[in-house]
Amino acid sequence: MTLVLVVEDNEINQDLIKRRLIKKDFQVIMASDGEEGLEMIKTHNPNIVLLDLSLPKMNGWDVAKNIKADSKFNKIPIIALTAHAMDGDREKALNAGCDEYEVKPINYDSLFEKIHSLLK
Amino acid sequence: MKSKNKAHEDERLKQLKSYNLLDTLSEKELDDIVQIASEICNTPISLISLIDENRQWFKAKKGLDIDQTPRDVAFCSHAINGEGAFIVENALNDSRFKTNPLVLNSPNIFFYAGVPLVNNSGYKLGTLCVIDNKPKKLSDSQIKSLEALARQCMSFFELRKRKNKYVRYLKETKKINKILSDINHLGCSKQYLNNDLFNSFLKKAIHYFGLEYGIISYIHDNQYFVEYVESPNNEIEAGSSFDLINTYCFKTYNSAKTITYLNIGSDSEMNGHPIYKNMKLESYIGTPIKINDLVVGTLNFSSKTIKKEKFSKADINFIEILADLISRELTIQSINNSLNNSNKRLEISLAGADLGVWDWNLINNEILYDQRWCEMIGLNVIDVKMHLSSWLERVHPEDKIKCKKAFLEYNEGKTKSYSMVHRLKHTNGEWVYILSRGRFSKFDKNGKPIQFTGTHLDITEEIRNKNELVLSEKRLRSAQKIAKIGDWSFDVNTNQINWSDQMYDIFNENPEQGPPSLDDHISSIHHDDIVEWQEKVTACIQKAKPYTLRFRIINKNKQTKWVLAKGRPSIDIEGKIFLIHGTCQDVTEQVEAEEKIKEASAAKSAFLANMSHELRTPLNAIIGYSELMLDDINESLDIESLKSDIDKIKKSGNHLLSLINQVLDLSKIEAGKEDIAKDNVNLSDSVNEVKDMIGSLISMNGNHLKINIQAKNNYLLDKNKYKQILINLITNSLKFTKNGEVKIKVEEVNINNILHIKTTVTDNGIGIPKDKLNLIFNEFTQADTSTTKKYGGTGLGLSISKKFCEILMGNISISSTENYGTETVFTLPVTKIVEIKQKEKIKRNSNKNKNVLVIDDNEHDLLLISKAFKKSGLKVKQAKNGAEALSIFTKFRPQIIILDIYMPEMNGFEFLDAIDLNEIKSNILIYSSESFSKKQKSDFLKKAISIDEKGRTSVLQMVSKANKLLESLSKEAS
Repeated sequence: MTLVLVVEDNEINQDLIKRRLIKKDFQVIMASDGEEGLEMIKTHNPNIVLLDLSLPKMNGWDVAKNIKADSKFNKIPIIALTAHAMDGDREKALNAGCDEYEVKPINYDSLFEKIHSLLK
Repeated sequence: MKSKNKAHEDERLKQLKSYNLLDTLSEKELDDIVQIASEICNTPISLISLIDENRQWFKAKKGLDIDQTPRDVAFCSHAINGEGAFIVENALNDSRFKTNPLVLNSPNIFFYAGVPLVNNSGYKLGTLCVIDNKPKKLSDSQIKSLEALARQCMSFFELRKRKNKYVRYLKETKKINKILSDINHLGCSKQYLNNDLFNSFLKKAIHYFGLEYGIISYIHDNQYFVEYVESPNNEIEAGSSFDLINTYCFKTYNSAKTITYLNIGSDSEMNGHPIYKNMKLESYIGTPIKINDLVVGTLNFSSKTIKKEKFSKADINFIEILADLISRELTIQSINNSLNNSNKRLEISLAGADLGVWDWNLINNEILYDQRWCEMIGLNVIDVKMHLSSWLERVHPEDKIKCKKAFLEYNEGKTKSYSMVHRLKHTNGEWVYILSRGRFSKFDKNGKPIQFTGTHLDITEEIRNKNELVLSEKRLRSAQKIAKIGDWSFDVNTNQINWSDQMYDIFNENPEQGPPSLDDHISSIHHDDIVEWQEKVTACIQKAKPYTLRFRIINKNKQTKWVLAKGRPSIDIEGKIFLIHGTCQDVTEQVEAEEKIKEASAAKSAFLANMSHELRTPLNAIIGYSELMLDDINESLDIESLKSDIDKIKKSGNHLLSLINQVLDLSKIEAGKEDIAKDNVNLSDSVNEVKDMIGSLISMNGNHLKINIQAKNNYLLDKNKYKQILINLITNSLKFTKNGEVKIKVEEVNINNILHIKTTVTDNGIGIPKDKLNLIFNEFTQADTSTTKKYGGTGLGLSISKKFCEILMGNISISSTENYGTETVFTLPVTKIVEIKQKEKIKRNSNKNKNVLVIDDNEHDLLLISKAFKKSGLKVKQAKNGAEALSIFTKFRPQIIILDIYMPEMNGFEFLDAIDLNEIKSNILIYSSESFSKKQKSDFLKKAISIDEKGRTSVLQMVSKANKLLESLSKEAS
């Protein structure tokens, strides 16, 4: 089974994403801030990470940079989830090392498509 | 030191030019000098070289074809800098000259010896020099000879200059004579030519009288001089002289009257007279010639024949007129003589034929004016009365006193001559500017002046040009001052900077200290801008590239200013840049405005980005749960799970709504459209209402609320805004505090003698880091972005609260210690209305006697409001505008005024300004059918407060819209 780590601090969003992923038969683990997210990547070695960018303690960009700088984990694909939808936000996320980018409110069809193409 | 050199050089050039040598034809005497010089020194070339601004020009030359060379390559430039002979024996051995084009190319100067031509004042005009195309050495005697020749050359220059001056002088004198000859024609037929004017007189008169002899005599010291004479066979010669007593004229002279004899042979008194004995002259008519009432000679006619008829009155008139004419002519000659003796005359005469002449007899105020004098003011000499009044009545009234003063100063010896500019009225009605100059031309025995003679010069055009020049200069300066533009120049050779007045303003320098040195100027340029400045200026100096550059300067007060400088090169005839000049404008204000716009635009972008983020978060939930529910409905129908999801959608929807409301509030505030209401507020009630609204939030984090209301009166205050501010502050405190206490304290305070309500909200929550405190009132700022997620909120609450406080002319501040708690305080100015209400209640009983003045231009409103008052039994008068109200006001003495603001002719505010608020004890209610502008409100509020401050009972209120006014009236009535 595919293990997905969701790093998201908003409880409503956590609930929404988790329920959607479970329906698609993903195994889901949750982290509520950047530091926890980074820790869980190292301990659980998930297949893919869905990463909110505005996070307490350590923001999503820094989490992505840290992962991509670590040779053990830099193969793990990261999809940025963010409400930052202005010009340049996409580039900023990709520059930080994210492999894909999805704007909130999440279009789940598009999200699953991206997850599948990254996991192939 | 440099400027001193420059002054010396300027003076040298001036002196050089005064000799009028440059670019003139060759002169034999000077050609001889160079010939001799070249022979003595045994050189092929010899020159007399004169050095002006940028070249040496050869007044005399031998062995050279060119007329001039640029100054910077000239050997002679070096020669005039030193004393004595300047000698270069071999230019190729001299570092100063070995690359000089005059050495390397034709005429291949190898040897050069030049002696400066020094004038009497010590200025070196140029050199006498000798040149050879091979190295050479001069013997001492050769050098001495060359120096002697140079002195000769110089003394020739001096002689030449004096001669020129003399020639000029002669020319001027001729001009003067020409003018004076015009005067001679006064009263005479034009057929007389100047030279034999008097003889023409005499001939004509002899013919007229039918006599034989005619003489104009000059009498001095009892000697009778024949000046002009007509006699048969020229038997009397001009220039001969007699004892006065031996002439018939002695009596004429002594009596100063016209004397006639018809038959002297039969006149026992006269027939023994020597003339009768010698010449047997029988008849005689003679009259004195007077100048300034002094008899200077006679005009007399006589004959050997006995005159049968008496001389008629007409005859006597005729001879006296002639004598008068002669007297005038002699006066003019005396002017001529006296003026010829003075250099001043020369100066005046430079204007040549444009001079008008006047000659004033100070005894009888008769003035002779010449043709030109009259023409200047559009008169014809024939029509002009030869009297002071002719001048006086045409002098500009403002100038009369000046003229008198100038005359008195001259008369008292304070000035050397009378010289003054005054206006005279031309016959065409315009004023003509006249330069009048004069001096006393004759004195009596006691040395008292009796004749005053001078000239007029029309200088209208010059004055007008000068005025226009001054005016346009003034305008330029004033425009520069307004635009903060100065102009400057920089001399590339001397590094001298020149500044216009405005430059000193921009750089905050003292104009008396003069422009700065180049180094000082550079040090005032901002260090970050200096490289670019230097690049531009260097390119301008070296490559003639004009520039425009905006850079910062630090002026004397250590202020940083932005200036926009433009520079242009000035190029001399040889294509060299000698000066750059340009403008410098203080553009600090513009730059600051641009920066503000940039900041504002950046803030707007940040706001939009934040808004987008803030709106997406709840929308995310709403859409997400709706989708989930749609899925779930198909799969299972777990009602509990659906309920919980619907609740989440509702909460997110509400959050979205409050977000949008607050953003709208903010934009309303920013657009200045937020109305201020004046409600009758009981603060205790208001705080409790807030407490109810917050409700469950209080207990959510286990907090409790402590309320302390010390302001127990009723106040005029915008209730909704007060409550909204309080809600924002309390919810913030509750959110960031856990198991703690939030305290609210409301009290009255006096700030600058104005009553305020001070509300303090204190908590013992997480506090705010010091570095975030100053950001806390900005939109979408919470101390940490993550706090938004943790604690919720729009991040707009404090920002809106602050803006509400500003609108209500109050203040808000926050202080906090991290992990200890936060205290927020806001104060709002208020009007206490408790006592007034009580007073009103008492008064209301006696309201029957009160007068009400209703002022409104809208007739409908006017009637409506008036009716409402009449119903309560008050006396009501109506006015349609401020002006009408004013006329009613003084008699009617209203206790209550209902005032509309927007009215034609005199609006409400103008009306308030016009009435004496100190005089009245009226309650004034102000309202408007349109909303008040922000400025009007704050002005009015200030006024209202200041009036209350003085302890008067007047209450000023503002109500927007007439229907609201009626509402409040009906409330009061009930």
